[in-house]
Amino acid sequence: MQRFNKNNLIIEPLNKKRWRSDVRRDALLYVMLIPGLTYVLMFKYAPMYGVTIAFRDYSIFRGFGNAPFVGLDNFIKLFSRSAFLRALKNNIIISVLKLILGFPFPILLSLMISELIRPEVKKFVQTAVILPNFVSWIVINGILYAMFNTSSGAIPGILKSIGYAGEITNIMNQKETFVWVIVFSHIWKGAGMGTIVYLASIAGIDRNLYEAASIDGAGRLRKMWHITLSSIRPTIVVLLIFRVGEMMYAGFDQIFAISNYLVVSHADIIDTFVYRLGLEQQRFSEAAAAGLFQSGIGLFLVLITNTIAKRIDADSGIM
Amino acid sequence: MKKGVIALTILVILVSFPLASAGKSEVVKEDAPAKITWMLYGDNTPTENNAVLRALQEKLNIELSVIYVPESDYMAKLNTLIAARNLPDVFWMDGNKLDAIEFRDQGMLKKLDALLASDGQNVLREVGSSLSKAPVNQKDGIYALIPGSINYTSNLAIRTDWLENLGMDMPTNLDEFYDVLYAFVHKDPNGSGKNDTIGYVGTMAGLRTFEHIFGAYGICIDKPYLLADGTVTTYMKAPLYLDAIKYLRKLYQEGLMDPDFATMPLMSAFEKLWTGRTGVFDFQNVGTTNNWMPGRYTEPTPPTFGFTVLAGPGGSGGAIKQYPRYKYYNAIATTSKHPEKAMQLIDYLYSQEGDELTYLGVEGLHYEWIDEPNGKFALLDKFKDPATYRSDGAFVYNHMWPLVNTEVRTLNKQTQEGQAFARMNSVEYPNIIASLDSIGEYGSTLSDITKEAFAQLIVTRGNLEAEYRNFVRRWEQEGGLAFEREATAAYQAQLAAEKAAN
Amino acid sequence: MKTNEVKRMHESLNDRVVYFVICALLALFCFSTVYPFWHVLMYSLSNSKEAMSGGLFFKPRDFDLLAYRMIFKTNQIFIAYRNTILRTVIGTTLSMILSVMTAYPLSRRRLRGRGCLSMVFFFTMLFNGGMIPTYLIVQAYGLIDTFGALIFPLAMNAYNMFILRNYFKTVPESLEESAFIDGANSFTILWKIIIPVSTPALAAVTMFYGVANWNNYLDGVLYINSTRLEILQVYLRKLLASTGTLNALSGIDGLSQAASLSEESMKMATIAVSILPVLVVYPFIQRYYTSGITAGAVKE
Repeated sequence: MQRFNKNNLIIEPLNKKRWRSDVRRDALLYVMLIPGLTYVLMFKYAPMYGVTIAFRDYSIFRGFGNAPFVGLDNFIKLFSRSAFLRALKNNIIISVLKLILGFPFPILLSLMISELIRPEVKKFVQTAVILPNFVSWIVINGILYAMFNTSSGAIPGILKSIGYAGEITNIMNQKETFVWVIVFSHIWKGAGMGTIVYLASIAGIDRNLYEAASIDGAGRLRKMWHITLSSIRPTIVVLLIFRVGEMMYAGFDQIFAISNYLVVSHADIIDTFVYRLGLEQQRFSEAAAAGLFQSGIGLFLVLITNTIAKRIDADSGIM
Repeated sequence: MKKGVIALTILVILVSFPLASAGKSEVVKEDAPAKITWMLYGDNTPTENNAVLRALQEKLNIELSVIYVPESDYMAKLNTLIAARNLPDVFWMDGNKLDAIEFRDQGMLKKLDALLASDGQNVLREVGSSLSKAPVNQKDGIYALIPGSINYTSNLAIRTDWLENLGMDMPTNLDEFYDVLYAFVHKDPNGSGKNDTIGYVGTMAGLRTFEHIFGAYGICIDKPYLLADGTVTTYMKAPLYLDAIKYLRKLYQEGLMDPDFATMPLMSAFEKLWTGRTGVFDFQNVGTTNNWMPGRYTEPTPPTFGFTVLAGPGGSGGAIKQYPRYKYYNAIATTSKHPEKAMQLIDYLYSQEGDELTYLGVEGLHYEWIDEPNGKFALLDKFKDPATYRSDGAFVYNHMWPLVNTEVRTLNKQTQEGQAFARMNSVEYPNIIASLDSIGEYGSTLSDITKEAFAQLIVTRGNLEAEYRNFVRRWEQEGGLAFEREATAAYQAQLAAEKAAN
Repeated sequence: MKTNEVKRMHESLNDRVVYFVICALLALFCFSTVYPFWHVLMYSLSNSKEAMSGGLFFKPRDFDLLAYRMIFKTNQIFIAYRNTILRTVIGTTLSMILSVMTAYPLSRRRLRGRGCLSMVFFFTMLFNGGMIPTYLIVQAYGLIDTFGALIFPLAMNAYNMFILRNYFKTVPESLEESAFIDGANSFTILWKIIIPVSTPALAAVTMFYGVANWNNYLDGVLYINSTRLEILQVYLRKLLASTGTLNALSGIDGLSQAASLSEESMKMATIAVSILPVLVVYPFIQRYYTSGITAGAVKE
């Protein structure tokens, strides 16, 4: 019995008898999986019982054995805090903005870098764009402060010297502009790291394809679109699925370092809210509930995106 | 028969051998130093076997393993150790952030009464009378120890050299203070001919930098407030709160206050003082006139300071009163194998000798006294270099805080007098010692609201009254009312108990 | 023909314009990324007081190595460096072995249960047990205060593994098939064929693991008690915070040298110290991306 996919290519027969012989044939492959599986079971799945804290009244003093089941109580408590709902709203807004504006950027950057001719220039640019990734958000916050603060900042200083007569405000203190500061500084920081994966994929593209395209009269832009971009499409899809799965996490380190009480109503995200909650009094149960909520939504989003990706191209996606 | 006797003799010898050495090893074991683990917070970088540690181990005949955790991560680590049931012998904990009562009730804190009697003379002398006030010690005995000293009070420091240049006197109330700030901004107090001085520098990174202004309204900023009818509530609901905010708004709008108060890091605020851009600073004078003097000040002649308090609609004003830290606990775990040795360690650190050792280091090696009664000393040889000094154990282990400790003894005269002055002119607030459930439930939410209110109300151009009422409403609805009920009851009970004890 | 020639000329003009725009944009972006680091380096080499006045830094103001002297004065930093380097090298090696061995089977279409197995790994990316249960597990395995605690918790990251799997997928099946016919088994294929062809992805993931190991902070705080095993990030964090306290103590005679050191300078020097090794190693790894071009010729 054979099955055909939509491109009319034969894929594996599904006879149950074949199962055993296939496993035997691939025995070595399964053996290769053993260390990874063991590791994941030992270090990732073993602690997963901790997820159940979300449904229990847990105290570090009483321990896990003495943590009575309380059902959805922790979730109800969590969702009744107006600050949590506000954090959720901000989370979604910031994540969506980061995704729409931020996801294409490393792709564009990679495409541009791959067009460079001289290898030394290419190497320099690749190193240069990675640098922000290594600098912590605390430093970046300090630099932004040095740029934008009204008393001694560089940008207000420049504006004043060119005679800007309008009102100069510190964009880091305005609720309205703050979100854009977050989104753009995030794009700037993450761009370089994103290019690593794409450039690695691009490096694997057969050079002959470009030559063939040149002969056919394709210009630079067309080559970029049809060859480079489409070759890294599988990578893009996988990374997109990951990014969508992460949408419930809008960047704790960044916002934690940079938030202040003038902008918190727009900048507080789930992670920073829960961190403050946990800092006052170790509310592990509620924190676990928030974590479970984030994970659950993330899983849901990933499954949807993966299904959509598979409809477009059966070979793509996570599974 | 003979063979039997020989065999028996051999047997006896063989058996008695291990018995004898067992006895010997037990004797050896008793002399071997006991192993003690001690966990404390701090951000110093001592080397593993520094001189102070060696001195401690020698004096107490212990082998001391110190777990030294960065302050910002201390509670996280302690929480994991608690959950893992893997506590060190001696450790510190913040009773405000940890449910010490449950800690005790689950049997993890050692009962200290007997140990104190046998090995804790210094501790009893320092804090014996106040130990029972700590919440965790109110059930059936002592389970944790508290510091002997209280935190530093703040002083409002104003540059007297600038005042002299301007021919002005030290301000004693809000109006005079306003005039001084105005002059500091517009009248060139440092005689430079340039517009290089700014007004009041305060930051939300350290709300205590606004202490004295609120003190003039009888309010302790970021602390509970006692209303006339006996209710304990947030300082945001104090009747004169909005007036205090209006005073700050005036300063803000007229450019007499640094506009970045909501975002400025504390170090940046210090730097404005050090570089001579501001002439007013509301902070612990241990910094202003002792530790930073003269090295941190960048001007060729260091500034001179005077201290004052500001009177206002709320009374004669002053700093926030510092109460004893009844929830700053040091404890011994029940799992400790050598509790007496642990108590000896703690006791030694409560003594003057132990505090001196852990603060200044080993006398004769790291430093020597020049004028001991007046707290003057000099560093020796290579320890003049700060990194070397600190890595050999100075300033690291002094975590028991006896009342008159070495740090206080070595302050200069102006600073000591300033502290006395500030303590005499403090504004009180209802200091509730017991742990409140509502703080556990809503504490962080409520704190966020009051901080947001502070920032927004100072800068807003909208309807101040309406926004204020909005914040108050939010505070009340999100747990504030529950806090009021619980705090008021707890405070009344506390007052009654104090009365009964006296 | 004429139209073709014109077309080609237009194309090349078009191409040149596009190329110019690309270069300009990249130059601008590179400046924005390089300058902050330059700023950090210059600030750290400047005299504290001079630097405090703020502004842009193109060269050090009043060259001063005090901040670096403070960092390297004690023995502890060398211990911290040693631990972190060991951990990064050993940890990354282990991570790569685990990840490659897991990614390869999952990249083969013929593997039964591939979807489910992938999900097993992917699930760990979304759900985790939390700080305390993980600690209890690490404790149960006897790893607390041992070198293992610095390696095993970070050993495999599903994200990186999937990147490798994805890249392995693009290796043509024909290469594998011909090797099978020649009598090779999966291990040989992995080692002799797949790996050499995948250097770009391998280099990228090595970089990711390396940086993660190098920068990781929390494990060093939670799992390690003794100073013998202290890692660089923890040491630097303490040093940075203590400079704040040190400034508070600088009134004491003899510590005035420290008085001339501001926390800001210390921060900058700390950052430089923790980043510099990464930047030194990076160009070596980066070489493997470009080697992929020649590797491309191996594929048909």
